[in-house]
Amino acid sequence: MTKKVMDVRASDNKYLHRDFHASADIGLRYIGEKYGDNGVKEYLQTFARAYYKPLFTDVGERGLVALKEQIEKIYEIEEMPEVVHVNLTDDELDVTIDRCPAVTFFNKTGHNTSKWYVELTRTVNETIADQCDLGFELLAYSEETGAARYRFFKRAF
Amino acid sequence: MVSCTEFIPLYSELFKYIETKADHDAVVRYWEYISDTYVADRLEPLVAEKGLDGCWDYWAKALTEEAADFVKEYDDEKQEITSHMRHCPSKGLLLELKHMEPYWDYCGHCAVLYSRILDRYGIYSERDHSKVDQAECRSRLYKAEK
Repeated sequence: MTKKVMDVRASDNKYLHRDFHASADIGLRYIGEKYGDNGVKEYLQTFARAYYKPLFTDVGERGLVALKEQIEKIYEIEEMPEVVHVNLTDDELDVTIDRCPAVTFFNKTGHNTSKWYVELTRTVNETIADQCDLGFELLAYSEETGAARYRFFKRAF
Repeated sequence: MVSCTEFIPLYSELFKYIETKADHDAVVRYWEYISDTYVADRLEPLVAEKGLDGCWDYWAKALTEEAADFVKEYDDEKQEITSHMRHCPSKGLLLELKHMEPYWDYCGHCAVLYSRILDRYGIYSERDHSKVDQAECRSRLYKAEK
């Protein structure tokens, strides 16, 4: 007879389950195939408006630097801080991503990235910008690597 | 990109979105879809090869990466694995977010995702979800004849 016991505390491990990136992409594919491109946008807008509420408040109080810190934090969590480059001025935050940690994981594990994965960058950031009364522009995006260039800017109107 | 640590609220909002578009049955069909198209590829080979030992290996990896707070016991004479999730990191995270509501049946996905696969190998499950509003649950996997 064998009896095995596994007794694990949360503090024993770092919370970094990269399979969740694939689960997120599968969700986008499902919504895209069932409800179309607008369904994906609607879903992500609803998510972003709800989840990032504290960020909207922070940006309202501290400005674009709060967004800069949020973006840098994401890549710290993903253990790839070297892939993100940001340039912050009074009116604009320019961001360059050399390669996306999630797409890097997909390429390594053979996950077939859906055509809607880009919306986690475009729609989510557009929604954040809109809620913060900022503009957002996705300047470049590579579906192969998730490399991206985008900017948040103070609206001129 | 959202970080993988932001996935849980994204997931919870996905369930809400599907229910808004259709109903709870549609959410369950989504859980069946991810079970068949994603979880099966990872869990099934382990279970097919090693039975309950495969289940042990699968959850040891997944729950470690999710930094869960749990105790699992595997009794190979009884052919059962019991689990006490003292603090589920996913539900716990959702409960910590005071500015948004978790999907009302968020924890329902755990029952659907795995049982569809395990049933095929004569491994059945019982779940106690009475304390999921405190991010706590218990489960028992056991091998039995159909």
